[in-house]
Amino acid sequence: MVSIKLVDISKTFGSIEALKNVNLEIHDGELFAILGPSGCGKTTLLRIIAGLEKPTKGRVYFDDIDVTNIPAEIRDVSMVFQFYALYPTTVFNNIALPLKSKGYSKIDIEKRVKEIAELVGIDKALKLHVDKLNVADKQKVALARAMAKEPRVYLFDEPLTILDPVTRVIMRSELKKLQQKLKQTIIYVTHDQIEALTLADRIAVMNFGVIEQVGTSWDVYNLPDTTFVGWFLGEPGMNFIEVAVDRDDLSIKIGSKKIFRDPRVGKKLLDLGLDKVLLGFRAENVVLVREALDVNAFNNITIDGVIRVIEFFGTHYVVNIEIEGFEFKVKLNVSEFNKLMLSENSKINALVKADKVCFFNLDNNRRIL
Amino acid sequence: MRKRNQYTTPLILYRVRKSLKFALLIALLMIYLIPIYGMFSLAFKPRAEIYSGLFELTRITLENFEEAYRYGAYSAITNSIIVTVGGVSIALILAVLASYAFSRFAIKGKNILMFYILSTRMMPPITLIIPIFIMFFNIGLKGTYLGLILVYAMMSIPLSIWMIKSFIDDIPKDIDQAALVDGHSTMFILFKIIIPMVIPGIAASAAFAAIMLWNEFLFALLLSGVDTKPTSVLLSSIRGERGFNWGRVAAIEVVYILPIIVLVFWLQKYMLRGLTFGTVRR
Amino acid sequence: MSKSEYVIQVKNIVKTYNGKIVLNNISFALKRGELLAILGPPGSGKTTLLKIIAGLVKQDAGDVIINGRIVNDLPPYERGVSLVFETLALYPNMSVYENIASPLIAEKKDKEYIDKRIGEITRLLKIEHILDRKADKLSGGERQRVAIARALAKEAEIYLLDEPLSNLDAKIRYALRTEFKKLKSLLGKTIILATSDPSDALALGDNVVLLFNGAIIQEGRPSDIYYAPRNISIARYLTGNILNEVSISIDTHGDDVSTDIGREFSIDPYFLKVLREVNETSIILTSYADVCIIDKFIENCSGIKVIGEFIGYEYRGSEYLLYARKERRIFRSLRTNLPNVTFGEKVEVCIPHRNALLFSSKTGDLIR
Repeated sequence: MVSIKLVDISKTFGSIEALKNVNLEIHDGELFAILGPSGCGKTTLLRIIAGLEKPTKGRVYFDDIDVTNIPAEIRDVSMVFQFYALYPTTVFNNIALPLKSKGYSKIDIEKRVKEIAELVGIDKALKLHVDKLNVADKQKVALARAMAKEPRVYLFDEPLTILDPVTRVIMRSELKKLQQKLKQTIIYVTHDQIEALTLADRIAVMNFGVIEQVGTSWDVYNLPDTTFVGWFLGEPGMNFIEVAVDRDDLSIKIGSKKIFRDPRVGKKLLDLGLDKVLLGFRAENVVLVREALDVNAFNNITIDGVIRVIEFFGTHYVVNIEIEGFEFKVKLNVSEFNKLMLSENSKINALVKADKVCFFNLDNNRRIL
Repeated sequence: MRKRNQYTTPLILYRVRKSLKFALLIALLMIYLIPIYGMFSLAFKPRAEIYSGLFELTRITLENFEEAYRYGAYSAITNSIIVTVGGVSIALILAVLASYAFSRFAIKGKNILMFYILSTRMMPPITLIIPIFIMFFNIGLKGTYLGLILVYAMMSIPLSIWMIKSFIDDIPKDIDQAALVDGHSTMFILFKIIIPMVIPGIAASAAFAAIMLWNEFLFALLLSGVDTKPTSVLLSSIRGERGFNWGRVAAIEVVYILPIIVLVFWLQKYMLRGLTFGTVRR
Repeated sequence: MSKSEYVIQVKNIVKTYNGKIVLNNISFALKRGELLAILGPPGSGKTTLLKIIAGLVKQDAGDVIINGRIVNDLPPYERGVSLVFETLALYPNMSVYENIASPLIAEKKDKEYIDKRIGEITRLLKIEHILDRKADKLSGGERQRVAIARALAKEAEIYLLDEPLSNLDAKIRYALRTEFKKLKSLLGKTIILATSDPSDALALGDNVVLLFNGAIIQEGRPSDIYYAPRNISIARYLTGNILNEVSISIDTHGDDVSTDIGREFSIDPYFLKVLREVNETSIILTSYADVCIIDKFIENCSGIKVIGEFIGYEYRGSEYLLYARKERRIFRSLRTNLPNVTFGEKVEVCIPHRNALLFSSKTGDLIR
């Protein structure tokens, strides 16, 4: 068990900057996910924590001990990979091997292996050769072997990706339960947002070697710090529309169309010296109506646009609406969609609750409100 | 001095282990490097000091190289270059065309033909030498560059076909088909699309063929004439007026070995892929 | 030339490889400006079908008719087709510009025309900034766009796209799909798109043809296929093989009802009446995840209710996908909130009969 601190970590490969000044604190006993698209540097970051890669700049601390120069072999971490690399022998021997090299006695090994196997739920398969196991059980053996090392921290590199969807859901639940019981620090790297949102206590969202945001699942989804986080999470990602503040009546406009009348927001933005910002909102928070909009209501953003593209996804529809050259997506369930009888190239009115929108700075794409 | 923590002892042990491994590696490496050093040392040593110890190089001189030049090493190296480049060039042109056909066209008995081509390399060369010698002697190719070049091309073609074919096989057929849908001719597809994509394969097989031909001795000995003698033949026939002239031999060897070293370093990443017949990606 | 109202007709195509039937009697027709999605699992024969239409593979029997003309014996470039390969098949040693220009160069167009056309297309696909880059130095999304651009550069009667969105990050895939649909309505091209991803076919297709094991098993509009799949294997395929299913057996008198997941279930009386009227002894009741309900307690269930074990959930930001297990059946329910249950606890699962699909156990065919 250990808390981890990364200070000003940078890593370059030749001329490529894989990590740019990463600062991160991972608490003791936390299940911490690092989420990002492929090539964002998340695996490099994990390898630096493991000691398999040396940072070009910056320090790594385990419980305030500087481990930057400690090689991976003695850093006391366990890694579990996407593809389990098991020894071609029995389950028991696989789990026992790290214990043997730690110098445990035969009786102790027997006892420990049984304990661990019970915890991960493969105690009935101990005598089997690993070739006889299914994918999920193989991954459990890999996990058990990692646990036998009794590491200070577990590093997971997309260990569940190869499982089928149902097994993956069950394994996630089991992993979470195990973690709550053992209170181990786990760092979990994934490109799958559902995995991160479902599993993690906290998530770091990465892009191009930079940490864009660190927060709980709810935070990163509902209050993204940057437009990237908003776009990356959710399917579809957050909508962004360039809006301006009217200096006369402090309303918010898309092009020449006024969409929001609450002067408090307009004033706040102008006070920050911003008369042009990005409006962000999620597709499922939009309500479509046929009737005329109450343009004077303060609690709603009101947009009247034209439907451009309708996409059917079985459980829901996604409708693309255009206004003044900008487009945004609306997610509707099937009954709502059928009620409205929408068709492409027809007019429609959209409402977004004022507390469901965010505003972003146009220059640095960071959230303001 | 850093504070002691849980990592202090394991770190010391780790470093000791690592240093020992490193020392062992150096020792093993020496077994390979020392003879090469010896050759260079001999080549640059003054004649008077030849027997004074292989590894002591107190004074560097080029007199061995001058001696070698006078002995005819210059023309031998030129001959080596001519027959190697000639053989490799002919082999590559034929191998590229053949391997594209083998890779892409439906040819009856393709597998048997491919195996037959390879099998010509399984025969011990010495069994061929007499018929070829008599043939070349009768049609006047003995002692000419062309004669040796033709034999060398024949020797290099099989491996080149196999190697280049494996590289072409790696190119998805979809690429040929895409070009067909675009409306291009077979010649355009081969020369503008396929060949540029297998340059690494061509380079690798060129390198392997060049090394083989550069070092070839048996055919060179019997088929070359006084003026067309390549370096391998020259080296074997060196004899000094008074005993063996080691310095001269070493000097010729140094010049003889350099093109190969340069070639290998230059093309090593392609050659590695060539050795595995294209299956290992860059 | 109005010989035919169809741009392309495919009639009774048959293809075998080494005695194995790859395509069995495939027929369909497509009007100008339509997008037909051919949906089927990998290995169902989609690629072979597209290559037969393009003239790269020869069919054993049947006709390909383009604009009323049988093109069976024409080489690819005389058929008026353009093809995006699943592998994209970009020429890696050429620049993006040279790749897109390739069909135009083959047609011996002049430089001015080529420049103009490439300008238009690359602007449309937002790749005008990478024209000088070599094709093997592109990201996945860029490669996909270049391949589509190369296909569009050619003035063809019909555009064939083989898995144009596969091998992409989910995010880019999503964005490109919408863009593609916009592009399609903008250009008014006739398109056949092969895909193994149901959401591609549902979202993009005007019509969908379902191809399983080399045979067409259903065709229709996306919503028709989704809400009335002709048999249960289609419904399973559309949900990635995680369809909510219960087998129900009714004895001949209609008194005794049993399921394949035990005797502990409750059934809505009205639904029972419906079941009896169906006049089948064994029925599979199925529902999609947005219809099924999983919760700690469900008071009114107008269908069949069973008690299962909660095995986990997926948090998707806007909604939760809940998973429960009962015997060998897995149930999924799409909800906006997470019920207060933990892993391994008992939960109630309800499949309402409204919006549920009934299939015959014997034949697998849709009953209602």
